[in-house]
Amino acid sequence: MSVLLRVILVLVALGTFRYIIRKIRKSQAQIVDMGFWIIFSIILIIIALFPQIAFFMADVLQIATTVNFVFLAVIFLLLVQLFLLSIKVSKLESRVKELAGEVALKNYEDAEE
Amino acid sequence: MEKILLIIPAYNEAENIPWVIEELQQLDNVYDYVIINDGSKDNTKAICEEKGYNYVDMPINVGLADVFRTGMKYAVRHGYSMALQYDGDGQHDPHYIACMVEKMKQTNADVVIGSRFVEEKGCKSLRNVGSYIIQALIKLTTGKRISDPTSGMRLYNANVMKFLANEINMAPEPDTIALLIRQGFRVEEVEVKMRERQAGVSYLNFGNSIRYMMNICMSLVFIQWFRRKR
Repeated sequence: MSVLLRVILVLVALGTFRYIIRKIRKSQAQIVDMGFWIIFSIILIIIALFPQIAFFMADVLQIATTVNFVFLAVIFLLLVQLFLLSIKVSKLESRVKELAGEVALKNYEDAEE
Repeated sequence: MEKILLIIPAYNEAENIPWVIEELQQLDNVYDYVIINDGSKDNTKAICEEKGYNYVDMPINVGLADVFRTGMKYAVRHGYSMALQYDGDGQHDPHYIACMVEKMKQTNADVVIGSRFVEEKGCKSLRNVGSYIIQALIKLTTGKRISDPTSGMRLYNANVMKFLANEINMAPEPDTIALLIRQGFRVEEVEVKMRERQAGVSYLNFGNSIRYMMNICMSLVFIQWFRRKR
């Protein structure tokens, strides 16, 4: 891997980390939900700084090219995150609908009095 | 004397609601009813207000499943002993309500379905093909034959009402019927006649029908096995 590519990788990883941290601060999202993204961007930086980790893992798992190991790991992490997100959205939706029902019944009772 | 509530979901039913309610009020035995307006875009709400109908107004559009659940909560909180799922588009003939109530009392059933095909075979239209598939799947997963699982005219007793009001994933659909059977509730059927929808547009166009079938089949075949028992 050329020095230029590594420098670019490190810079992109650092940039991503900074961007994520800034967004989290601004959006006032719940810290619990952002934990994943902070750890994810730290992992990106570590792999960019020490690609030996990726080389080693690819070697152990007998994956032909290192980049395939990186893709595999990132896709898996994102899939898990997507699944958790899907559960969360579903829960959120049913709660909103439940609340809508309660509001409707409350309004009905208020109108009755 | 048992208290019966008709739960009438209404989404853009301004043309149908007035005569559906008037027909109900002309019966010898006047039933309590509640219209649940699911955030209609037409003047369904204005009509209910103007004519003094008993209605609950959902602040947003939430879909049939949660409209129905809200109706069930209403029924439970107002102490009704039976609740009937009744369409707001005029497909259901209120003269059959008495038969359904009678059947529930006779057989001590928890759910009574108003079926179009208890005796006669339904004609083979697209919707009925779907109905056959669902029927076969219910037979397969519960061992019970339900002749008209997609019928929207269903009577529930107080036990089931509480269950439907408090649990999630209890849409008024065939998969819920299958779940109720597997939970040990008793489901019976009564022959009823249904009419064509009188005005307005049905929710079930071709694309939606396919999606509906997919969802119900998935739910019946796969999801139901993993659901917790009561």
